[in-house]
Amino acid sequence: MLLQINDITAGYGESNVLHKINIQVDKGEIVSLIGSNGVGKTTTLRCIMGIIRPKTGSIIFDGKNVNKFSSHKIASAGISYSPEGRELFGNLSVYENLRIGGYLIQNYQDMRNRLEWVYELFPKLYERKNQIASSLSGGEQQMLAIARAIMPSPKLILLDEPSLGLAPIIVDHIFEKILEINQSGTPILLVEQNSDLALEVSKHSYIMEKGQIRLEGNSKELLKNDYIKNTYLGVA
Amino acid sequence: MGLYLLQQIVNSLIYGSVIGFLAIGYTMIYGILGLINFAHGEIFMIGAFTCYILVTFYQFPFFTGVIGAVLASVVTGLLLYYLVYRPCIKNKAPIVAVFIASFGASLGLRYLFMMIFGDQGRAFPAPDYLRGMHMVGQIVFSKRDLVMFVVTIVVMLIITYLIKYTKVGMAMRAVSYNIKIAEVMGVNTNRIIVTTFIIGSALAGISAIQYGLNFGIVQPSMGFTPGLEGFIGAVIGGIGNVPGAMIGGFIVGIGEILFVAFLPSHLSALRPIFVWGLLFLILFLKPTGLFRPNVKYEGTWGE
Amino acid sequence: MNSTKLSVSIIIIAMIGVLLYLSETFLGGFNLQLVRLLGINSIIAIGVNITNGYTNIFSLGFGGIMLVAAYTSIMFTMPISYKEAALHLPMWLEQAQLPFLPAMLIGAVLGVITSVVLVLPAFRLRGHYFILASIGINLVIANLAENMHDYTQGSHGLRNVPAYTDSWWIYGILLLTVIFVWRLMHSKYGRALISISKDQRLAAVMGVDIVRYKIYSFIIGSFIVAVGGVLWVHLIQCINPQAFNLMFVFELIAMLAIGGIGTISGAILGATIVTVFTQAAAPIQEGFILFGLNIPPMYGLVNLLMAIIIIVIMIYRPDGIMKGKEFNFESIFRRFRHSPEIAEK
Repeated sequence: MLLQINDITAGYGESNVLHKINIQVDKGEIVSLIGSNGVGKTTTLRCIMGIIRPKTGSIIFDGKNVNKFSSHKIASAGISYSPEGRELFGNLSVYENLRIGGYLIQNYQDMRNRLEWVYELFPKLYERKNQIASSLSGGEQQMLAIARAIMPSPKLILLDEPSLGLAPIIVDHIFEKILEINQSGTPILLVEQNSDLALEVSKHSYIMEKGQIRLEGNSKELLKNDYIKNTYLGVA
Repeated sequence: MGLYLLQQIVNSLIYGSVIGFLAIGYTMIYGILGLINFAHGEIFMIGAFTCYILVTFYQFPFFTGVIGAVLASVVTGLLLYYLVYRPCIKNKAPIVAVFIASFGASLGLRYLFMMIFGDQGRAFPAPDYLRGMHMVGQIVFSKRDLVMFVVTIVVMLIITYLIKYTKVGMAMRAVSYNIKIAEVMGVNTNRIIVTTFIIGSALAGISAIQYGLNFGIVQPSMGFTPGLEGFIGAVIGGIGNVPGAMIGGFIVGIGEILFVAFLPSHLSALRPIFVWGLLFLILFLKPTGLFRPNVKYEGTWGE
Repeated sequence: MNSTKLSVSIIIIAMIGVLLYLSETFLGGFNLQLVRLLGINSIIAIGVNITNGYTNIFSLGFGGIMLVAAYTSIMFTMPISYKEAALHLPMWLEQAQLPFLPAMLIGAVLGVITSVVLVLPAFRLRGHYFILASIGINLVIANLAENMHDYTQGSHGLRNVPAYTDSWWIYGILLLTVIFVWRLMHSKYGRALISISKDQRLAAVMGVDIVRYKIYSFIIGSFIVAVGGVLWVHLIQCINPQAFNLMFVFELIAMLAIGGIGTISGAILGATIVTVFTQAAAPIQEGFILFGLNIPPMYGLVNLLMAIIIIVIMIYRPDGIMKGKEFNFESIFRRFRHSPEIAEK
């Protein structure tokens, strides 16, 4: 098991957002975390990434307990993050954003090779490689956020709401790329409000409600589940 | 008239460079931590004093004094970071508290040196090989001016290259923009902050040498006015923007000297009013400064 | 205020009055000065607190305001012969001679006008920029004072300022100030201020006119501070452009930082601690003999120590001692009378 989240309770200040969450991600698969706004999906990813600390429970990644690691140590352990709302470095160019994404790559040539691969995956970004990130369109920004996350050849990518605020055509395009990335061997933990897409693209899914996992299972089967169909599907 | 103006500009280039380097220091630290280091002027002063002490008391050669000045400035800057700013950040001190602490550090360092050395001005030990004048056309340059021009340009080139093209420079800009996400990308933000302090403080040290050579005086209160003017230069240039800060610093430095040069002499004591008037003008017309600022949030921590 | 509180307050005021009388009569020069400085610093601290403590304005410009008020009051109270000899004033000003109170009020009003004209426009500046601008105001006013030789004798300053200030004036004004501010804070105005200090955006959404309250608190605070400045110069009987410079401003801020910003008691407590400390420690700077060792004079030591103390406080206890709560007797009585219950909690 690549990533194991055990009994995590976390929150901001006194109140708790997550109540004893258990999630697992195995090598090579896409796992999605679905739920409506504000249930704690982003908080979960933030916990894994070390942006906030869990109050109880443990996070085991690649055999190591990463609870207490600072964010940059978690990054060097092999997890990368494409945050909700992109959070690009708006003052840097596309190339520079990618360069920072690949910050941990020691060898310059390795970095350039990786960069080439990313540019092949996202030709639009290559076209705009010297453009300032804040001047890109919404879809391009999301692509840059994902591209930035795959630069360091991570062992796991945390993807937060890639469809947010984007037109359906662009969302489809992005999800094609997400599949491509996964097929090249990188597992993804996907947080999505668009449940249809998430269930279609992932192997396993967790349904979160009010900070707790309500349902989990094989995504194909969950698609047929009545409760899921009534509550979460067809909303996109 | 044109000649007088040109000569005045030449005379003021060094001062412009002094203020410019200080402005860069302010803008880098503000960009990366969201706080004003009020003690930056004192880092400058300590650099100058170190050179003075090494050369005048211990008879070291001038070059050693210069190295000593830069090192002392860097050490002071790091001490400030580890003893004052880092604890504030760790304890999530409110911005006003950090400001007071910063102000206190500035006064504390100043009074420390006043206590030890007294507040009278002492002679900065300019070496003999830097005496002498040259004429280019009808303009007089002193040897010091020429050497300092070269130093300024070289340093500016290095800094600009560092900020724009190196990985560290990109990391510094990324951290200025969004420290949390930079950390997520694997950037050791503490190390980047320390690097920023080192560079900013080193620049203050170089600036102190330039000031000493140009004005010939070292005293504990010497950091106050240049420090403030450096901050104003940083604001004018767009906070967080390094080349902007240099230009802003030049505007303040050169502008001040020209202001005095063209005013009747009994009004020359009003020169602080020029500087502050300039600041007010900029703050009201274009608060973000002349160039693009480099920060997304004002105050990137504790909130 | 119920009758018990009222009678207790009256008793306390009466006690302070007796203490004042005793101090005026019996205390020697140094101690008397200490008592008086304490009072003045308390007044100034309360004034700064009103401006800086509630409405997220962190203005350092009060040094300049005090300078303006002080010089103005001096213009109207200095002996005419001195004015004729040392300065070049317009005739009406030269001949003007007012008693203390009117001169003080004129000075205070002028101080407020200065602050409104100079600082108010800076209100729309954000955070650090505003602080920078307010520092500039201090420097600009001090610079002007240094250059208007006809009025101020420049950096030489003025002497022969009549010694109008005594403990009665100081503590009388302090009492008035405390009562005024107390009533203010417990009125609708005060509640609005506190809501702004707690959460500005929320207050705005609730309908509080932030700008208006900022302006009000700024004016009131400036007035009190200006009065403090006038009292000050008439106590030390001289003035120069550096009288209220940034070191002075810092000491004031230190008082609020130690005592806790946002409360009257905090301001007074902080003023007391800092004043006593600086006055008591001042002789050390002259040099002394410790265990037979001759310690040389170290001017600036007190300021250095204070700076260090402030830094430490800002790191570990930025709320100050009072932590934003007012001092009240009930909490003390409770402690003595009902200790078992407190222990249970």
